[in-house]
Amino acid sequence: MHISFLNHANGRYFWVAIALVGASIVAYLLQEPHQTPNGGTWLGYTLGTMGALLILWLIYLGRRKRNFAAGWGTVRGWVSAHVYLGTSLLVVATLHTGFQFGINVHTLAYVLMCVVIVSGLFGVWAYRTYPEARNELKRSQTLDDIFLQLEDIDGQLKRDVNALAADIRGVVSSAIDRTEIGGGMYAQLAGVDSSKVMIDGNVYPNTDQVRVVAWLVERLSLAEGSETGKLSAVVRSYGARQKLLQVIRTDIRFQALQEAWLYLHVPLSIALLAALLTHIVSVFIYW
Amino acid sequence: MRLLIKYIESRGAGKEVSQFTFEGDVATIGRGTDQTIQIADRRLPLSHSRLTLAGGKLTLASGGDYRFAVNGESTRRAQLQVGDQVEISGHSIKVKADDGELDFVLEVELASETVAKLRDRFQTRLRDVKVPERAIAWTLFLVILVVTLAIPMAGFYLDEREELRDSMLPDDGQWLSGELHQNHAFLGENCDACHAKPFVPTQDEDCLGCHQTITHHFDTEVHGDDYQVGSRCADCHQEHSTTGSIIRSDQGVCTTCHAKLTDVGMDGDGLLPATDFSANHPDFKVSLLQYGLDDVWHEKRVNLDEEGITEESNLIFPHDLHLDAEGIDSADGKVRLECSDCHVPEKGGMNMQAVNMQDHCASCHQLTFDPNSPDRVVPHGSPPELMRTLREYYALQYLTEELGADTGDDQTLASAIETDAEPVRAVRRPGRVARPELITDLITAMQIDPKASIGAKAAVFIEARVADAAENLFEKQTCTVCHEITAVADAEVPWKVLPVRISEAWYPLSEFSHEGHKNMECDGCHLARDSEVATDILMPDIANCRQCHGGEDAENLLASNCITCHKFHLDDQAPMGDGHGSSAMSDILKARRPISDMLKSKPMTSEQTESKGIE
Repeated sequence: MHISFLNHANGRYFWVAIALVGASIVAYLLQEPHQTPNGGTWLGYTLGTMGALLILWLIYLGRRKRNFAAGWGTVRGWVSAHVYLGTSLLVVATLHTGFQFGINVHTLAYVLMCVVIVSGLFGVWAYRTYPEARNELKRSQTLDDIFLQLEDIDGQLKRDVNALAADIRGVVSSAIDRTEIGGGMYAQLAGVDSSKVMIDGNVYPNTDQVRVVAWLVERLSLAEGSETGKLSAVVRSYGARQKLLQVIRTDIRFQALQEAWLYLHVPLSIALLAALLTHIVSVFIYW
Repeated sequence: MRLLIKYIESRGAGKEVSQFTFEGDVATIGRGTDQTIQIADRRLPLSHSRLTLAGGKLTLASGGDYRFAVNGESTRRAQLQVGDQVEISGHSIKVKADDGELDFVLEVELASETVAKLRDRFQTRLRDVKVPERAIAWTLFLVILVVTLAIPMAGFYLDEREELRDSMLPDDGQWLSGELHQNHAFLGENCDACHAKPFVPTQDEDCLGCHQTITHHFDTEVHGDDYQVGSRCADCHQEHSTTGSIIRSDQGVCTTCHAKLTDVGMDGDGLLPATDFSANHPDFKVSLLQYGLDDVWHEKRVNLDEEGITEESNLIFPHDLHLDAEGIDSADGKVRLECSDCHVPEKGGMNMQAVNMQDHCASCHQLTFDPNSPDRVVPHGSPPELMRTLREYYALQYLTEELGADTGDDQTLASAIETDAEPVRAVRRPGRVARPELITDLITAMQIDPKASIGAKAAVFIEARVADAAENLFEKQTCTVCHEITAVADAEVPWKVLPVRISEAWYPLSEFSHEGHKNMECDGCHLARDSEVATDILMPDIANCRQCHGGEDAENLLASNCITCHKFHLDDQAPMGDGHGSSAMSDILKARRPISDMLKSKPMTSEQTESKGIE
């Protein structure tokens, strides 16, 4: 079986997390059943202290696991601990609240923590899902490889259309020049294709190169003599180009999805640190 | 086929060349390391094309769909001549003639990647977008810290909280973890009423500043002040908790000690273990009153199920007779009495108002003493007063009748009584015939010496009449109906009426509200209809309560915990504070705006006035 951070050391941290969650729940249920659960009971303070220490440790872990070589432990071990203990924090901290929420700094810290954890869980899912899907998609090549192939086809197409009529040359080279890949955060995540093509002096949307392929096929029907063979070679090449672009675009979207959670996870972890500090100080200033 | 293959690589201005000779039938071109001409470029397939020599003609043919260009012309198969330039993915292969014994020289020039890669022209990774992640993170960090912590804290330490709260700036209100309990709502934003010092838990003194009269649970002088369940008020009374009550009401708070008092070093003072009303609670004990020989009421605690226990109120009262469904004789005929005719709960419903002669008995039990004056009654409650009333009555009778008779001729008193005896005869019940006795007859019957002085005659008459009436009252007809009477050697009042006292609190350690049980029938708990004597104890036992009340976790019964019936802060214990009125409270209230101010700032609108008028 493939060893990932999820089953690292026979899921050592999974069991640590289960023990932590189980102990917290049992303690919560065993506290005097008619006493109002609250962060300020002895159990509340215990869970709160555990939660705060966990948060600090997890943030340190999050940073620590980027140092591949330094110190003790393996990266996989650190990630494993980070994921399982981070998830257990959701239970520990929720029990700490005693299910009392409001519009205040305490609930702010809780909400930030939840967003951080949930984004992290999405990250786990993403890292389990997208790399495999992307590998499948690119048939074990890298995206760079595919870009080089695209570059090659582009050069080849440009050469091929040199021998053809001016309208073909114009349309194909404008389609190549106006092909858009990737883009901003949203474009990458949503897989927006804002490619264009200029035909007869007008610029048209050319999403998924559909417009130019349609034009080429139509133009092929009007071709005569040796132009037919050359144009059909161009159409074939353009078909290959279209496929490459599809692969590239899907891969970019997958990669963006795979990494996007970090843009919430990391900054909100830091924000959580501030909210946690406020939570603790404000609770004790008016103890 | 023999080929000289030269690799030319541009390195700055110069060119570096490496070369080798190939001998064989087919020379292959591709990325693979097994290729004759290896072009380490990821765009190329492992095997791209093949060179063959047939009849002096060099042919280049690609496998599959791969294309290359010869002299700028794109193709998949071409015959190459000396001078031709083949281009494969930007790399060029020049075909040159060899002046030696080789067939051709191939100059392979690998394209250096001087042109920006296609990928670099686009943003293809999220990190290319260059989100200022760190900046965002630390901005968030700082904003949260400043808004939620720094500014409110500055207000706190600079003593500008009020100003801060009145301003648009963030204040310490966002720290509030939950609203104050309703009872404390009047404290409003006066946080330091309870939170006197920062980073120090609320102290009992902060609570007792207002709650000065709240009492201890036990005698702390004797038992110390270790409460086991917590040492601070706040351990049981949790403020700012959005759920639940401010009073900790779970059984655990009690059973920590009351499961076994000796375990926590208390002798228990006769208190038995109790952990749950239905599962483990001792039988009820009643407090019975006993009038001692020392003329003082003594209270004793008795198990309700003890054989032969009686109430010793010294009252004679058969409940069954009074609650007879047929009714009981009264001056106005049969009357059906209800429990509530005599037993009325006090305001708040805790105890019953005391039953008293005047309101509850006198309408039937009239304290008349003279058949000739059925409207005259003796006062209730004080035998000396009673005796005085009798003396006054008979003195007046003698005065008005006998002496009045002396002044006139030998007249009977009948007319005199009719005219003069106003206080005695003012009201006469209709339908009854006056049957006045002749006082002269009485005097004759008493055999009073007619020659004696008026004073001596009067004294003999009055004393005889008073003694007669008193004996009748005390021993035969009136007092003795309800009271225990004993004869005593006392010249003034030769009888003693044992004082009557009905227990005010049968279960003084618990609180029972009749108000809360008003939808129940009285005889659901008190079996008074069958009680023939007042010594019966009509208090319900625990089994009776358990018909409806279960323990804390009861599912099919009314869940009842300790403080459903018992109080923690006991009235007979010393106050936790100094026991006086609260100055802290008045300080807080003074600090608030006076009510007159509030009224001024909020004048009643005409609309409100109108609606008031309609109401």
